[in-house]
Amino acid sequence: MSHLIVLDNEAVQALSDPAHKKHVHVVSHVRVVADRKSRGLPVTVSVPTTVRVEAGWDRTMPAWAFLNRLRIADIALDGLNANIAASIRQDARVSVADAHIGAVIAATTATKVTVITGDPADIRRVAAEREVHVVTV
Amino acid sequence: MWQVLWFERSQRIGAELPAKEVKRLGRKVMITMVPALALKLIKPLTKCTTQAWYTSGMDVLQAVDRINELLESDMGQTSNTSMRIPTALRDAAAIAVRELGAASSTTALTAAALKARLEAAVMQAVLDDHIRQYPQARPSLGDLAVAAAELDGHPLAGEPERVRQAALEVEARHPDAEPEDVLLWAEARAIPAS
Repeated sequence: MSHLIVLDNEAVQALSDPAHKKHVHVVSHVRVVADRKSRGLPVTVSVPTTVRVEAGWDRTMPAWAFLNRLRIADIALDGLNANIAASIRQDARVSVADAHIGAVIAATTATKVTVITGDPADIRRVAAEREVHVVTV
Repeated sequence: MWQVLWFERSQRIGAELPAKEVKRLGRKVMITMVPALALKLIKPLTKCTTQAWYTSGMDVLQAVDRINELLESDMGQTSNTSMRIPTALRDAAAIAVRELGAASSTTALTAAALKARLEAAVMQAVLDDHIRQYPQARPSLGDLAVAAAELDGHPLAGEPERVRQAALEVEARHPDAEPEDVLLWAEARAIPAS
């Protein structure tokens, strides 16, 4: 059973800043993921590229070295995802990044999806019918 | 014959150096067949038939960066290796592939497992390094149990205080307990006695 964990802007900010009040909270999630991976469980942490834009996460900048090293994979907004995201944005009236998260949720083949977010209501809106675990930071 | 490359931490691709210069520079020189990282001059080991392609001497984050770089590089290139694995494990893998459809081949199965384990090792190392730098960022067992519950949508995810209390109780008796142990204990405590 594969498990996809998606970070939104707030989760990225919390993880990147040791002084952020939710830093330990998001570090805990990553630690649990690392433990599960070491036990052979198929779990991945990903970030939609539009979330990276919103968060200012430039992978070439040394300030983001900690997150870069954690093997958090990009999910690009390709043509297919852009179509889905455009539709979600129209229907749910959310940001581009949230719409992209919705497209990721819609397109993933993972059997379980968790989104770590600062705005659970928007994520539930973009997830529509798909069952998603929403973690609020 | 080996290609000798000059390497500094900030560089990814070096330039060829004469042997005399290599000797003088010692640990700062890397030897490799490809423009990759290695940190000191080595001689091939006589006990091993596989040409040495790495050396020790990296610090943890250099190792992490190099592993990440390799994990993200072209996986189409393959190498024969003299790595020895238990025969029983090899045979079990072959059966898993043939009878259970666990992967397209034993090689694919082995490579996938190795990749996942390497990714986990990298994440653990990066987190450990981060916590060394920022000790206040170390999660407690309670934090980890709450996080595990949240990731899975566990019914106790909405009751973090109960989970944290359970973590304290479990940790008092089992210092090496896992977050899942805590959730099990918290769940058991939540069942009303009949």
